[in-house]
This record gives sequence, C-alpha cells and structure tokens, in this order.
Amino acid sequence: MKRFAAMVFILLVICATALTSCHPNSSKKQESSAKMIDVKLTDEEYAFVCKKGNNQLVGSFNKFLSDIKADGTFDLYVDKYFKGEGKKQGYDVTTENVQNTPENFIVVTNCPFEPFEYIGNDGKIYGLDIEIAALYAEMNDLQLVIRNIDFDAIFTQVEAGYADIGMAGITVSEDRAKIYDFTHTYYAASQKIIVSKDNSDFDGCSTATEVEDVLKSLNGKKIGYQTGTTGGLYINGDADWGYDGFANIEGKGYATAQDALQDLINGNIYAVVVDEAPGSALVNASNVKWSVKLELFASTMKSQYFRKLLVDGLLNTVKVAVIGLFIGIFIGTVIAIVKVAPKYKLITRILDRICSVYVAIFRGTPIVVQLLLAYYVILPSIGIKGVNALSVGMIVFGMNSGAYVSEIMRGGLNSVDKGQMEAGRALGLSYSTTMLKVVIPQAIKNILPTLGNEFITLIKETSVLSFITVYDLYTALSTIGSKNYEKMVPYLVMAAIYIILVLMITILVKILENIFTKSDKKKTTNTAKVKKNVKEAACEQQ
Amino acid sequence: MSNNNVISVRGLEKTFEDGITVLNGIDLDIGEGEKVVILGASGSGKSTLLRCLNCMEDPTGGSIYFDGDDIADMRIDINKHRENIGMVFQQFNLFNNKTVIANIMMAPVHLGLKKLRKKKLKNAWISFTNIFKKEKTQLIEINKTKSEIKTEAYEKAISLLKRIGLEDKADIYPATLSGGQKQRIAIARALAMDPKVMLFDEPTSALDPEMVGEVLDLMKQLANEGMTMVIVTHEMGFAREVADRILFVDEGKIQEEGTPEEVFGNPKNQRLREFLSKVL
Ligand SMILES: Nc1ncnc2c1ncn2[C@@H]1O[C@H](COP(=O)(O)OP(=O)(O)OP(=O)(O)O)[C@@H](O)[C@H]1O
Ligand SMILES: [Mg+2]
Repeated sequence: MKRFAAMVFILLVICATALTSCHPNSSKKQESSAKMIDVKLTDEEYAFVCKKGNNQLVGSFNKFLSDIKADGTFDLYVDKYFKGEGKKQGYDVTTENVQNTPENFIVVTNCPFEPFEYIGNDGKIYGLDIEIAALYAEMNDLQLVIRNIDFDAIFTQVEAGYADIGMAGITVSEDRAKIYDFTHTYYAASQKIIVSKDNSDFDGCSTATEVEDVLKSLNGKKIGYQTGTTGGLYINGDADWGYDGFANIEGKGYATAQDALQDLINGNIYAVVVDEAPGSALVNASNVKWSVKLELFASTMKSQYFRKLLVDGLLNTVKVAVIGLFIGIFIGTVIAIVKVAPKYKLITRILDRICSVYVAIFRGTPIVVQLLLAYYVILPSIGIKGVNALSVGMIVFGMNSGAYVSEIMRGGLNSVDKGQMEAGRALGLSYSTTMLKVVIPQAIKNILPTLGNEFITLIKETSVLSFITVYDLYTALSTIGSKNYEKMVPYLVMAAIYIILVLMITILVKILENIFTKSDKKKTTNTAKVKKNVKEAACEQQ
Repeated sequence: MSNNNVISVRGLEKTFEDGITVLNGIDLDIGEGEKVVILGASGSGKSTLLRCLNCMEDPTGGSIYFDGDDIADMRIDINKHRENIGMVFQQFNLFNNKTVIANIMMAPVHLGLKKLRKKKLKNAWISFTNIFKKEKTQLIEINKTKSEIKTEAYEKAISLLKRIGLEDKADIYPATLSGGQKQRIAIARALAMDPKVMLFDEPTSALDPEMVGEVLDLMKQLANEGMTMVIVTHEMGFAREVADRILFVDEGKIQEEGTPEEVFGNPKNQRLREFLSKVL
C-alpha cells in the first residue's frame, strides 16, 4: 500500500511539473493567439442527412422545414442563435446506445459546432439544429433521442440504421447525395481560415481569390481541418466539389476543429480551415492561460452532468476491459485446450483448424477494424438492428482478447508437468475433470502475471471504443474538453486516470499472486469444512 | 485359470507414432495376489509394458483382459477400469495445487459423487417411466448421501495417512515435502481407490538413497497384505525378496520368466546374463 501511495505521489508530481513547465511556453504564445480571416472561401449549404431511400422521413421533414420557414418559426430560431435574441432551450444528450424504434427519433450530431450544436454549462445540448430536431419530434409525437458522436461516425450510424437523422451542419454535396438522402437545405455557410494573430500574410485580402493566391505562394506549409468536413476537401482538392486544392500545401486532418486549432496555437501548423460559424467561437476560446484552463476544467466538473459523463466513461472503460478479459479467458482456455488435446479423433482435428483460423483472424487485424466491421458491417448486414454498442464492444474485445489469451493459456497448460494429467487419468478421472481441477488451476497460477499484462493492454485499448460511439474514458474527457474548447487539462487528467488504473491492476495482480503462493502453506477451507462435519458427526454419535 | 487372473495379456503390441515397435507380442497372466517384477535394460520397454496395462499408452495390437473386458479395445470405458488399477509413478506426480489430503480424497469424492448423480438421474428416469407402466420397476438403491461420500473419503484418507505416518502433513501442499514422503502419499492416493492391482514404475528411482528404504518398506507391507502388484524396478534385493515371479523384457518380448531363484540363480537367456552381470 505504501508503494501505491508513493506511485500516486510521483504521478501527481509529474502532472504538476508538466503543468508548470508548460506555463512559460504558453504565456509566450499568449500574444501569438489565433485570428480568423474574414473572407468566405466557399459557398456551401447545410442540410440534414438520412439513410438512402428513407423517402418517408425525408418527405415529412421537408414539409416540416417549409412549414416552419413559412410561419416564421425558423427565423425565430436563427435570430436566437445568431443574434442572441430569446431564450434558448437545452435538451438531454444520451450516452447510451438507444435502440432505434418507430416510436423514437434518434438524432446524431457532433459537438461543438456553435451555434448549430454545443453543450451548455448545464450539460444539456443547445443549438439551431437541436431546436429544429426537438420541434420535429414534438410535432410528430416521437421520443427525441440526441447522441453526440464523431462527425465521421454520423454518416455510418445513419447508414447502418442506428440513428434516424444526422444534424450537424452537414454540407450538401453530390458525392454525399449519392450515398445518403438529404433534406432541403436550411443554411448557407462557408469555410474560413484561421491563422496565428501575428500572421500578416493575409492583410488586405478581401476576396477568396486573393486568399487563395496567398495560399498558393506558401510552399510546404501545413494546414489543418476537421476530418470529413469541407475544409479538408478545400485544401486537398476535390473535383466533384469543384475545389482545385493546393498542391504546395500539406493538409492535416484532426478529429475535431478544436484539436486543429490547438496544434496551430502550439505552432505545429500554419493555419486551420473551418466552418465560419463555429470558427469564431473556437478562436474566442482558444487563448487562455493555464490557470484559466484549470479553472475551466474545475468549473466544468462542478456540473453534475459532466461528472456523470466522466464516471460513466470510466465505468464503460472498466466494464469493457473486465468483461472482455473474462470472455477472453473463457475463449482462450477453450482454444488452448483444443490445441493441446490429443488429436486422435477427426472432430478434434477439425476444431483445431477452426481455432487456428480464429486466432489468425483476430491477431491479424487491429481491434479498431474488428470493432468497425462488427458494428457497421456485419451486424447491419445480417439484419441485427439497434444493438447496444457497449455490448458489441465487450464482445469484440472479448473475442479479440480470446485469441491472445489462447496463446498465453497454451503456454500455461504446457508449463504444467505432463505427469499431473497422467496421475489424474490413472486414478480414473476423465480428461476434462483432470484438466479442470488439476491442470488449469496450475496453468492459471503460472500465467497470472501475463494475464495481468493482457488486462492492462485491454484497459488501454478501450480508447478505440469511441469509433463505435461508446462513451469511454477518452470520449468522456474529449467531450468535457469540447465544452470550453480546452482539451489540454482534460487530456492530462485522462493520462493520469489511465496510469492510476494500470497501477491498480498491477497491484491487484501482485496481491493475487501472493494469495496463490501463500496458499501453498495454508489450509484448504474445503478439507477444513469436511473435518468440521466429521467432528460434528462424531459428537452426535457420542 | 483365467478366473484367478487379475490381468491377462495376449499378443500385446505397441508401435509408437514414429514407427518404433517397442512391444512385439507379449503374453502375460497376473494372478490374484501375485507380485510380478519386470526387469530389462534401459529403453527395453518396461515402462511401456506397464503403462499399457492401464492403457496410459494405447496398445496397437493384442488384448488386455481386466474385469471381464478387453481394455485394449478403444470402445471400452477405460476410466471405469482405471479406478481399480492403481499406478505409482517415478516422479510421484502429486497434484501440486491440492493439499496432501485433497490429493488422496479427490478421486474417491469426485467419482463417488459422479456415480451418485448418475444413480439419481437414472432413478428420476425410472420414476418417470413408472408412471406409464403397470409393473413398476424398482428404484436403484442409494446407500450414501453426498456428505457421507465426503466423510467416508476423508476418514479413509486420514487412516491411510496414519498408516504411512504422515497424518500431520494432511493440510500441507506437496511442494514442501521430501521425495520419500511424496512417494508414500502417492501410494496412499492410489490405495484410496481400493484398487485390485497396483502398478509401480520405478517408484524409488527418483529418490535420494536414504529415502528408498521407507518407500520399499511400505511396498513390502502391501505385498504382505496380499495386494496384487506389478513392479518395474532396479532394486534387485527388493525384487529377490518380494517377487513371486520375475520377467525379463528385451526386444519387445518377455525373454525369460521364473521365480527369483530361477532368474537370479540360473539365468538361461544370454542378454539376461549380461544384464544381471551389470546390475548385481
Ligand atoms: N511416447 C513415445 N513416443 C515414441 N517413442 C517412445 C515413447 N515413449 C517411449 N518411447 C521409446 O520406447 C522405448 C521404450 O521406452 P520405455 O520408457 O518403455 O523403456 P524402459 O524400459 O522403461 O526404460 P528405462 O529403464 O530407461 O525407464 C524407448 O526406446 C523410448 O525411446
Ligand atoms: Mg521406464
């Protein structure tokens, strides 16, 4: 326990040093903060996205859109969010993977994209898209469900039928329209460029052509954008969209526009191309001191919603790792037994082949690929709809871990002396009984440290769960970071939590090992119990 | 004659997967209460012969009759017969994850409970079919409860431990025991099943010299009590003293067999004479 305390202490010291050592840098960068060049680079129109062929929803939504545009409701919402007039209405975001039924209206969106969608201080979701969605649900007597996921995932979720509609300031394009159905457009938008404040390259630019001339003269510079958005197409070029791109510039995709901006402030890239509406919110929030960053984080964590988000994320991470490990141990043991079992019979030889193929598949592909395939390809294509992504995560992690545990377990089984099996069989016990009661317990004892490592690997790998929209530790802290457009502190906290988790597992494995080795000298409860029974029986007889 | 024989071997052959034929036509009868010692040079197939007797090695030819069944036949439930054939290994092979007493109790308790479950299942089936029958079938008698099986196994284990003088070690794990203690416990574990015959494969070869005596003494006791024993050993003194019959195995066959006086006093086979000149 003392060692644990010491480790945690060291950890805190590391974090503190990280914070203070960053401080001078950040104060220097304080002056070189970002600014947005006020020139529209593109002409785009936003619409909502539905599954291809969902004519019923698209038709009904289009009618609804023209109705609210005609009666002035739509303009009221626009004024609310772009001019700050009137009271905004927040809605709950669910972190669960709700099953899609005809009674509910599942909206997938990607925060923060102010003022279209963003999380407020109360942890509720606000924005133009959100209020439109809520009104539609209300008018059609549907239960509104809002899920906040990665921008890229919006399309796959809608296509796989896990969600009804994607509402996230999505630009209509011919390409996208081939694969998805769009509602009518509702907002004209544009990309703008953000550069550091002391950058004067664009001074005097007033048209898109002038900005593009400057961009063409920049050799070897890097420009960031949020992956999957128009910004990337604008920089890299896309014939269908009519963007020529910039051969002299290296495009760099980020999970969020905020990450891109952070990298700009850190001096790693030259500029960021973003949607203009959320862009200004981003710039305003981007230049704060460490002390303010800490305060922002602290104030966010005061909200019950975000605390719950963090706890849920932590629990999901632990759940997937623990249940994954148990499934893995089960599958791994079965495979290992098949592998070491004598191969007299045809059936064992066939099973052996199947297990080899299983191990090859799960060890030959990254876990992200397995998750994506299971969730977006296999389950929808065999007609299983609306499954819980968390369960999919647990099962895929379990099956993946099974492949690795099988090798560990095989080593463990082989490490047990062959005489143990022979002794059991010679007494008339069956192969499976001897395996279960004699060989496997000894094998597990031998491989305990290696299993601990597997558990640690699982815990760390769970961070890819966000790919299938599960709220894990990473997603939770990333969302917390999106709230104030400040992710440095949340990311440090995330690292600290992972380290603490790993330390706790290490200690747990040590304790288990101690129990196992100590038990070599202790009495077994089993025989002690029988002994007691015998004594009682003897007393009764007397 | 076959009535008094515990094990009858006819034309036993064993060829390993790599094509090496180790046993090539062994005929052998082991009478009730008989003590048979198998001698032979290293690698001559003594262990293989012994291990075929309870099918730890599956024979590739011939028959082994035990309890009215040919156990060399792969279709026979070998586990049922192994309960009645005790085996003691050179390397003791105590279950490392179980205490001494749990080692001894494990097989009797597990197999006892398994039989109990089977009986209960059968009775349930009989009661069910009785509903439709005019003449009711009698239920199988269940004479022991679960806890009685456990208690009986425990008492038996304790009495065996007392007999070998190791009752104070009951709750200890094997790792801390000496080789001699381990081997005596391994013998007790085999005895707990009340076997009809005991097979010993060089039970003292892995022991320090000072511990050989205690194990041989225990085996002598067993012999005196009339246990049927088949023993592979290099302890010639023990063989001479205990054996009713000695077999000499070479080139996959029993080359010579007889009483200790015959085999040691007047060996006929050339190879046996060479062998004896080396070991005596
Ligand atoms: N599983 C096996 N596969 C292949 N060959 C084997 C196997 N077990 C034993 N043998 C071979 O069979 C022959 C006889 O082995 P066995 O162990 O029966 O001899 P042994 O008389 O008991 O010798 P020792 O006195 O050294 O114990 C040896 O040549 C050995 O290499
Ligand atoms: Mg041998």
